[in-house]
Amino acid sequence: MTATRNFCIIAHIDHGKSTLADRLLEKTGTLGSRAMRNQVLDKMDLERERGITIKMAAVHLTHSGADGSEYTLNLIDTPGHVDFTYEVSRSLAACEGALLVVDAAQGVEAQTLANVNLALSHNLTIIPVINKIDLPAADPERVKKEIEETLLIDSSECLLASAKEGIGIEEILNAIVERIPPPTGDIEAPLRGLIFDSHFDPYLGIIAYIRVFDGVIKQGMKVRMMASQHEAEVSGVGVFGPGMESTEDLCSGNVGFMHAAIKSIGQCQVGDTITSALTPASAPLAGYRKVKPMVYCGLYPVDSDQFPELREGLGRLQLNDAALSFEPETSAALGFGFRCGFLGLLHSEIIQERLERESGVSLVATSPSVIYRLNLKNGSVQSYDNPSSWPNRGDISSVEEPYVDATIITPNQYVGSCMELCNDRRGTFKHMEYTGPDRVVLRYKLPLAEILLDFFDSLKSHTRGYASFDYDWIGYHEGKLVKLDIRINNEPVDALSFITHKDRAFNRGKALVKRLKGILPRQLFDIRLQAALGQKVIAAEKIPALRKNVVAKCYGGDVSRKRKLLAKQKEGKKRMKSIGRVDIPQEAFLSVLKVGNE
Amino acid sequence: MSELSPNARFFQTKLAKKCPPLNLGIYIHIPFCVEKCPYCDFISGPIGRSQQDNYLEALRFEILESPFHNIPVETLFFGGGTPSEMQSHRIAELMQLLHDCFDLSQIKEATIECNPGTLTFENLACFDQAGFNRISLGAQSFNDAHLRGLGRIHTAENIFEAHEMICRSGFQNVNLDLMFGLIDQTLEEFKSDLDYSLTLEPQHLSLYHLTIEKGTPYFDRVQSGQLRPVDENLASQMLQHACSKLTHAEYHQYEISNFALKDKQCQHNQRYWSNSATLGFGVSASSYIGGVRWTNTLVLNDYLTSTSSRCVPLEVFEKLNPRAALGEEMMLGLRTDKGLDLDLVSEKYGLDANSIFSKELREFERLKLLSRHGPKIKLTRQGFFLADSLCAEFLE
Repeated sequence: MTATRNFCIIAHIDHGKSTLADRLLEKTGTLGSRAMRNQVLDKMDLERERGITIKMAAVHLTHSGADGSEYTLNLIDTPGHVDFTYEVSRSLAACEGALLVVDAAQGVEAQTLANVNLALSHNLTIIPVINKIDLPAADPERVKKEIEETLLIDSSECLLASAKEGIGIEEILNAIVERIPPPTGDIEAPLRGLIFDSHFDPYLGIIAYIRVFDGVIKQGMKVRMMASQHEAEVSGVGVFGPGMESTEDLCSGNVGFMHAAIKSIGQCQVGDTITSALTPASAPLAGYRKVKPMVYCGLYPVDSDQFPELREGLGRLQLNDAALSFEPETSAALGFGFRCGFLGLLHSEIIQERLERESGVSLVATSPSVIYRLNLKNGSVQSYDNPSSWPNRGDISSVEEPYVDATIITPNQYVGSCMELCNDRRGTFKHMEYTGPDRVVLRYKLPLAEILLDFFDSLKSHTRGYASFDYDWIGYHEGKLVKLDIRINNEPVDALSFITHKDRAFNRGKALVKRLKGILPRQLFDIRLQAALGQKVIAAEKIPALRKNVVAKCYGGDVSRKRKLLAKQKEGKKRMKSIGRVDIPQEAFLSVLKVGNE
Repeated sequence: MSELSPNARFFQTKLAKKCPPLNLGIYIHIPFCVEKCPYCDFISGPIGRSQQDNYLEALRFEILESPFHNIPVETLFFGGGTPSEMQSHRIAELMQLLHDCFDLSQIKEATIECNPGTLTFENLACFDQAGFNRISLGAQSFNDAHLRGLGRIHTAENIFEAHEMICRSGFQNVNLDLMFGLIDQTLEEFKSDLDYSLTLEPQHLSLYHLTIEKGTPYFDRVQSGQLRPVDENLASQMLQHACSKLTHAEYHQYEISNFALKDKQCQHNQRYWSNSATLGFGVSASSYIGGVRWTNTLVLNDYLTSTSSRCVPLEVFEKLNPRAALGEEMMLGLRTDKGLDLDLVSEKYGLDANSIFSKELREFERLKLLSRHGPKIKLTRQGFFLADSLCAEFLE
């Protein structure tokens, strides 16, 4: 145990975390250079495509320290995106130290701060690494000062490196050995292991990534998951080298994997504690939290016949994704579908992309919605994740919505823009601090609903890409929120309903109805579009009926061509959802989202 | 060229044996033109004299090789291009060949398309000799500026002259082709075109909305923004005007784009809309026999080399399954004023059209776009304007 070090790498997106991980692997000979692929710890294609690390991985490295002895370094990679904070916190719980990677040109950013705070709250030893010193814009001295001022870490502790060029790697490895404390734990005590990640293997079932704190876990043992109460027999344990390598056992202080023919991710949840079934520990490890979705949207198949494929696809994705939740749902407009819960918008986009790609289902996604808490006049309090299930206005006494604490780090010149953006999104100013010659940290309280869609993109475009952003859920606050319904030929289309602030209702309703007019194809009859608040119509548009097609010839040689052309047009309409007698393209549902922040 | 390209002769021979038609309509495509109009997407264009000879040779060959000889022919149609560009003696030769190969004794209608810019008395005399009894004149417009815009080689004056010649030559069955929705055309200008057309008292009028087809210079000009496509509302008004004016003048709109005085419908074209047996010869010509539809190659050179290869390459070759064929028959039938008899059509394809289309029929009836009398259905005047949208719903 004394020769073990458990650490992770934390950083803002794109500051070089994964590249550094590659270098560490390379340097310790864990993976021959020939076999190196860039960003080897990214397992999934999707992640590679988007350049984001989503799933974590744990790697077992061996390093000869300066004193000549051999050390085992367990590297745990973490997702950087704001949607996956819970996973990050679980992987931090498995470590004793963290390499904090900061870009030598970009300096300290919003997520750097968030992650450092998280690391400190887990009592991790932090080794700051200033990366990308090879870049012409690199300014390590400035960044050192930032680190000192913002993160309160002495600049003398900073290591300089370039993961890309392979500079400073040896120093980092030595620092890990020297500065990060060895793990503690009682090998004689009953088993306590933290599950900090998992993935589903079609042959072995769920592979749980575990950090053993106390005791030993070995093959053949009967174990119990303390939160899910599930019991299983361990069919294998081992370490990641980075491939799975079986070992006889995993002892206190170590990081590795175990599998026990567990079929469902519900039985083996991130954050749960594994203990012995026969001699269980008296208390689980701290910090387990049932993953809570933050964002909901309805997912429906365009072709209602594909409902089984959608259900199957979601089930399959859930095997590997404990954060995805889904419940069957019906919409008068869209038919049968699912209300899906995600950690955030990125998460939902990834799931949708995978569904369309892997299950071949064309999807209609309704606008993302947060969970609103409604205080009803009859005294009860109910939570709603679907706008179309809200009760009538008359029955509602007040509405509460989730809020977040947002941190924005931006250069001076864009402060005004950022503040304007936040104010625009119903934000409340909390705090502003100048943390460097050209660096401002802004803290705002914002409704979660307002940042759901394109807040991040807007922020980037308002600040020419320089600003960074992170947020934390803080609780519910009351708001003057109302439900806007869209009616097509007097029929409300429940899937187009959305929740908006009362002051915005008129503008949004008008904009949406105008947008729909541009999107909906003309039919053989007039289409009346209305935006309504309860019974009151606040905006309306009309799409006149088709008067005529182009009158063209149809003689011998034209027949075949004409038939194919018309059949193709009909095909096109099939891809639209038919609501009532109006064909609605998928774009229409998405337009509810887009018009959201006008 | 279609990937299928089955041996044209082989399957035709099979068809001739299995389901020989009782009678035929024959179409001959003559792709010669003095100049190519920029909006035209027919297979046509200026062709040199020697190419013309080659073409006629290939045509001759195709006719001789046809396994449908001796079947009685009811209608004949020479289209193009400008068939009248063909030399007179060639036309006579072709006709003779057709007489030799097929039974033209009962022929009811023989049409030839002409361009007002190049028609001569000599042409007409030859047509008469050859046995044509119907002339189709490509007038398009009586407005010289628009004619120039369309790239036509004739003037309004030419149309009047040509028509005069036609009447003097003894032809009593004349069709006028008229276009509307031309670039920058006003409603008044169209009304005037229509009035002029009516002064000529043609027995038949074909009315076409200018369509910007892919692959034509017009299309490119619209794409590049040089040309603005026609305003839909305006085109609608023109069509409405034409329909009412022509109805008043005793013309019957027996098909979406075709108007005729009593008993002067184009029988050849009616065969297309009723899926009757037709045979097409020449490049891009189309045939329909025994439920099989085929179209010759659209590439002139490929057609020309067919003489040596003894096989005309095909652009289209299809035999639809009953459901698809039913949809197609609905599409064609509803273009006509006669409409369809659902019982007959159900029997023909072994499907219950009434139940398959019950939802659509009910909806269209409700919207007053379709009218039903027992098993007979047809589109209303308003429905005619939306025929494409409606017919699409009957297709698979």
